[in-house]
Amino acid sequence: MHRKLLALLAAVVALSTCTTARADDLQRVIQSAQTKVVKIFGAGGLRQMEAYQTGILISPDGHVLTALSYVLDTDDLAVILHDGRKFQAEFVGSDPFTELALLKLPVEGEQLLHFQLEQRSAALALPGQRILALSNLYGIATGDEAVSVLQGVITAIAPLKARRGAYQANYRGDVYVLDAYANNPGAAGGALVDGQGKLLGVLGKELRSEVTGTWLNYALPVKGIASTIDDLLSGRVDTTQLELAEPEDALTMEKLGFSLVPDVLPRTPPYIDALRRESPAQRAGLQTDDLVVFVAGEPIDSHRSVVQRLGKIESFEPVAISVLRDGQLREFSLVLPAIVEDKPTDDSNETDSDGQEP
Amino acid sequence: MIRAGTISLALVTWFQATWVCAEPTLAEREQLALNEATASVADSVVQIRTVGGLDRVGRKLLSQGPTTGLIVSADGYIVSSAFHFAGRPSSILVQLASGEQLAAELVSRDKNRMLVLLKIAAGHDLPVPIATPRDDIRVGQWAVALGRTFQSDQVGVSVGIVSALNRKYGRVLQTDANCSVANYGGPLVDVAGRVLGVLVPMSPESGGGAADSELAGAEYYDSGIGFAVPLEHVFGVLQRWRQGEDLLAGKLGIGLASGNAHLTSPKIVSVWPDSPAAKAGWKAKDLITTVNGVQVETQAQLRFQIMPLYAGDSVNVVLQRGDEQLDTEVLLTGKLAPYRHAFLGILPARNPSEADPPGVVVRHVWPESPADKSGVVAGDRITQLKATKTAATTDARVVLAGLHPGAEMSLQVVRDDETLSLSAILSSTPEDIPTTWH
Repeated sequence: MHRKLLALLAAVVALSTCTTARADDLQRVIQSAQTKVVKIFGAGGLRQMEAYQTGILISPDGHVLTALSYVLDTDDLAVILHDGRKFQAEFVGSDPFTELALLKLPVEGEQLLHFQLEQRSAALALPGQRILALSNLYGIATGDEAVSVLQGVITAIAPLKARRGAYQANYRGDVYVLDAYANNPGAAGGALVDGQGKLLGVLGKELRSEVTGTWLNYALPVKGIASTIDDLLSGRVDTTQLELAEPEDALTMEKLGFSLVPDVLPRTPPYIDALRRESPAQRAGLQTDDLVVFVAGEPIDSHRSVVQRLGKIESFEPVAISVLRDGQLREFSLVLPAIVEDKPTDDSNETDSDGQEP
Repeated sequence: MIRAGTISLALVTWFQATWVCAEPTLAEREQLALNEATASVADSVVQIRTVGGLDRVGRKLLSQGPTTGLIVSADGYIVSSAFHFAGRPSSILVQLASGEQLAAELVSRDKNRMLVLLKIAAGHDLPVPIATPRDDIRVGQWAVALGRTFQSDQVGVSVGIVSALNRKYGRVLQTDANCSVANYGGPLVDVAGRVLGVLVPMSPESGGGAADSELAGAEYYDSGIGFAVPLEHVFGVLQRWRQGEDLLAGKLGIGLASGNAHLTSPKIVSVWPDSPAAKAGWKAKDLITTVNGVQVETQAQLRFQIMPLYAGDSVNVVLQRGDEQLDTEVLLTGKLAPYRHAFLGILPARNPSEADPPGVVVRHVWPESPADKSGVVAGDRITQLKATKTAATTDARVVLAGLHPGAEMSLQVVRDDETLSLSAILSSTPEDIPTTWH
């Protein structure tokens, strides 16, 4: 009898701990995350320039991380917590590369609940993983209401190649692409969390993907922005990253010794039109009528992209060029001679488009 | 005995309890199942890049990034959305899940479901996904949309459910998973790792007829309305499709009465000359009652039966002609001969009154017209064209609408109480203005 009782007791204990640990998991996670997301009201109000956005608490003393935007461009910046408490926030600093800004709430003698940046050292979450996006999209939450929650999955992890009109995103690192409509007006600065409520990323501004041409839902991963946040918290803001390293002496088609058919269309197919005798291109084995499809490992879709891609490579670097010839993909490695002696000054020794025999 | 039994029962309870404890939550189990489903199809999803081609079609700017395709045969056939090929690119490159790059050629298009078929020569067997049988697909079941647009080394994932079956007149199923350039051409996967369909843009509004372009419906991206052509259907037509001929929507060549397609009966108003319907002996005023054994009462029901079919498909149609039931076989065509008006060359009298005897009174005859050559003169009353009585002008129009220029047509005219039988060879509409009227 004794053993039976013990066993039963064990069973009951096991059952009860399990069930309580799992009950209302999602609701609890959401409620906890919502207390760490704030509503920001500032400048704007004109058409398509909403005067609000979202921020997340990242310290117990009231540091709020948000997106750098015109909304912050005012002396009267109001931050409202989930419980309706209103603060006039102080602008601490911003980083033009990630386009993040740090605000400080005048909090004294209180420890605010806040997100931990623990995912900075973890591997990125994988496509297909379920996520929650918390933000004040469309400014729906105004007073003592919690921000809105959207659920979805991570669609992809891909470099941010996106723009809005003429404006192009500075951040080109990997972002979480989402299948929830997370990036609507006012959502920038919101939180992307996993099923346990851990902060995965910060929702970005509204942008169109250059890859698909469609509006993008995305978040900057904690891993990619953690050091920027450290800098902002410590008052160090490094703007040198903005200057992208351009090659001093970039490669050109002329240096490699080939030319493409004239660029007459927005997407002119990059067929090789002519090759200079004894040039790196000819010696490597390129032929006229080859269609260039990769330069230095990057896909090429037009004449223009060949020029652009070569312009990013120093002339002393070897470059791999892949071409389509008779339906077959062929790769060639081109390298400029260490010292260019007599650089040809005219086109007299350039072969015509029919043949490339010396 | 009793004691041992109770102990073992207690142990079982305890094991169950620990098992329950070790068991993941519903959300975790769903996550696991969806991950597994994705993984089982991912290797069949390829990335497609195009080189050259147009940057816009009409006023629509085409996306420049890579797109997605789905392997449908071990020997290298790949299906994708026609959307990506609207720009008529000069070259196509396919990157397999392994990273291997291969040149691809466009074999043929399916213009009824906006798909394209590509071919690569991989030199090794490619992984072909399993299709979910159409009868197993249920509204509400999980549906995962996969693409290989954002990255080449990982598939993009969007999760939703099957929203509806047999959409767009029985050609596609519908999902609320995000569908866009990021996954058009990719698979919609069920939770068992089978493929429900191939994602395509289609306009939810239009009838989806021949007038639809490859780009129609793309503006509904990520809207909760996405479409997929059942993979089972693709496998079904693959043998025919890989021959290299485009699959076209099957056409009958008939005109139906205008009006609400969901209320109006499928009564034939006109039969195009030389069309499949004409060859099967269909006539104006016939009523279509049954298509391939399915009863149709409205024009919309007729479309549901015809729209999924291709040119070259044969269809059994039962017509009601008066009291007669006609059983006909129609071989659908992809292209109807361009319609040209048959020209007789008379002007009917204006405002005929009810009191007049039945017939079309000729006001003028166009000089050198078929009517003129046949001997019709102004003042004649046309009472019959071919075998049809022409009580009024509209009757004459219906007869002429069913004839081509060059067709021979008998006429009966009443002139001075005398009935004459004449014959005219119809011509096309003249371009010269006559100098004199007869």
